[in-house]
Amino acid sequence: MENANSNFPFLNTEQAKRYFADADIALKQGRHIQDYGNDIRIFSFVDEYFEMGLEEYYKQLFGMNLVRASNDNEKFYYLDFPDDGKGKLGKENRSKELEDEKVIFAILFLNFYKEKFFEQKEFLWQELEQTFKESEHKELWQAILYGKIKQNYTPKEELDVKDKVRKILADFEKLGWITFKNQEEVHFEILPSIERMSKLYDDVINNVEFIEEYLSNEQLS
Amino acid sequence: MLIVWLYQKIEKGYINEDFEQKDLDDTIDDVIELLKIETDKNKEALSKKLSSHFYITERIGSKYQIHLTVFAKELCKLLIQEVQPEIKKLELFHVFKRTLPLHDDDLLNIETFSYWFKNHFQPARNEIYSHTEKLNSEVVDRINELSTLLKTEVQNPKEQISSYTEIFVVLEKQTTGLINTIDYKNDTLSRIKTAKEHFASDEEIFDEFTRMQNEVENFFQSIDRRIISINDKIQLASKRLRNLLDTLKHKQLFKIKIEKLLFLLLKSSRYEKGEIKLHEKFPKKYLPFIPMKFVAILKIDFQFYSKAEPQKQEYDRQYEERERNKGLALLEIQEATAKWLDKINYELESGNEIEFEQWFDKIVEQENNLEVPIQVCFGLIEEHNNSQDKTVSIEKEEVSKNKNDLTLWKMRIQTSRS
Repeated sequence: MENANSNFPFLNTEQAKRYFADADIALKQGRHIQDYGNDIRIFSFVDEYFEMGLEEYYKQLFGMNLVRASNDNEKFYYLDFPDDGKGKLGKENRSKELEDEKVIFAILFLNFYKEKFFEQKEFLWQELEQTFKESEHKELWQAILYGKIKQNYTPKEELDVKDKVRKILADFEKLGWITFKNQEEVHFEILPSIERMSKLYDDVINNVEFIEEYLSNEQLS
Repeated sequence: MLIVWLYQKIEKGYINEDFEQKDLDDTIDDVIELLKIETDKNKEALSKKLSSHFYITERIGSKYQIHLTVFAKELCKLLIQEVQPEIKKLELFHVFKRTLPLHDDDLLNIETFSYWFKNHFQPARNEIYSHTEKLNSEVVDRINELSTLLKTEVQNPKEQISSYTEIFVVLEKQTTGLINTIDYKNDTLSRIKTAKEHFASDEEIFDEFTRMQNEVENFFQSIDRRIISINDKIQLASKRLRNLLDTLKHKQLFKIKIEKLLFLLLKSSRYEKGEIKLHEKFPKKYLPFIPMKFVAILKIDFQFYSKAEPQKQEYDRQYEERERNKGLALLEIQEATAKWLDKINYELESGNEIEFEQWFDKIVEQENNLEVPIQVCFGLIEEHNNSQDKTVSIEKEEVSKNKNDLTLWKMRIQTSRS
């Protein structure tokens, strides 16, 4: 048994016995692990063993990159596909597409995060409502959230939108991009790992002018 | 505006505390000029309106003298304090140093403690609250201004960052000053708590002492929270400011691009069956995701069974009584029928012929119920129709009865001789 994990000696450690399974499951479920909340123990495990075999473990056995990234001097870890495919997670049911509405909201939160560069990143539902109803692009927001642009919406319409946003936020919480302060009231904090969106959409963000042209040509044709 | 102007003039010694009508007229002219009011104001009407609350006119000898009411003075103080959010640089520290600390004399008895509470603590408390509120709004304003640094059109960003850094250094000092001031709290609170026993002999005095102690304690707790929150904001902003210089250009550009992308996403998306749909050509991205499935045989737990008791029937006593009477009536009919059948059969066995219409009358008369002879009739037919030694003969000759509007056929039963 002593030679069982000789390629990855970190697996023989006491910490691995305690935290590896949780860290592994979290990473394979797309979670971004950071030094925050309930993740602090698995974060310190991943942080300690990243260069002591953990990174290599995912590369060799799963063909995946365990990425160490940082935002505002806060580190976070996540699993990413290699450049040339999806590694062992390329099979069916081992990856998921980031749904359309989540893309928009994740970009919105990334923008919020960057906007509040000098402040705490906590947000209340009222601030989101302000974006949907009073911002420069309020009509575009209302068109995609409510399906129509009106002066006032019925309580049911308002409730449906709030539920929809709460659901999206709950999924982001699972990914480790936000944390709820109060889920019922939609009070949340955006975490540094939201930076993953800029890495995920790096090609799009840096070529946004071309993308705009490309999409408008598509719309015309 | 007029009242504040008058108050300021008195404060600065331009007019006496007891001023004259001419001073009032001049001040009205000043305000009209300042506010650029072109319509001709009726000074007398204005004066009347204001005099009811804000100043009092008294006749001294042949002259009229006017002075501001206490209410007007307090109102002016509040207004000036609010509209001139001037943060006195660390002056407060010295004010508090003189007012907040408790001396032994202050705790001699309830009167001296009340005196300290009313004349030292309460004014200092209001001053600290107003100071922290102004400091907070100052910090929030400055932080809001900082966001402009992330815009690309900022001229000389390095210079601006340096100037903001200086502002935040001053704000940090202000907060430190406040924190130092509040350091007196431990000393003040512990002195008050130690003196508690001294006031315990009289219940009324003790209650009064406790009320003041609670107010002091609540104030320190509340101000602690406010200052910590202000300090956090300043520290975070200062830290970011120091880091900003290195990456400023990149951050500015990247932020603009994210904003553009968001706008593009909003513009090209649509609402479809309650869901947001991006443009079909917008690149899709994937995240690793292995769902955790726990396959196990379904566990059926029989422990939980419905403990609901059957619903109790509504009990209708009148209905029950009616049904009981119906049953009794039926029973009576059956008893009577059986009795009459026995009698008739006895007659038959005795060799007598039965002419039923006669028995019919007899039965009706005794039983006073038509049902009995009818049942007897059916019973006889049923019993004797297929009988070997009895003959039932029915003649279709109508026999009318006077009573009950009845018509019968003649029915005869007799024992046949074998």
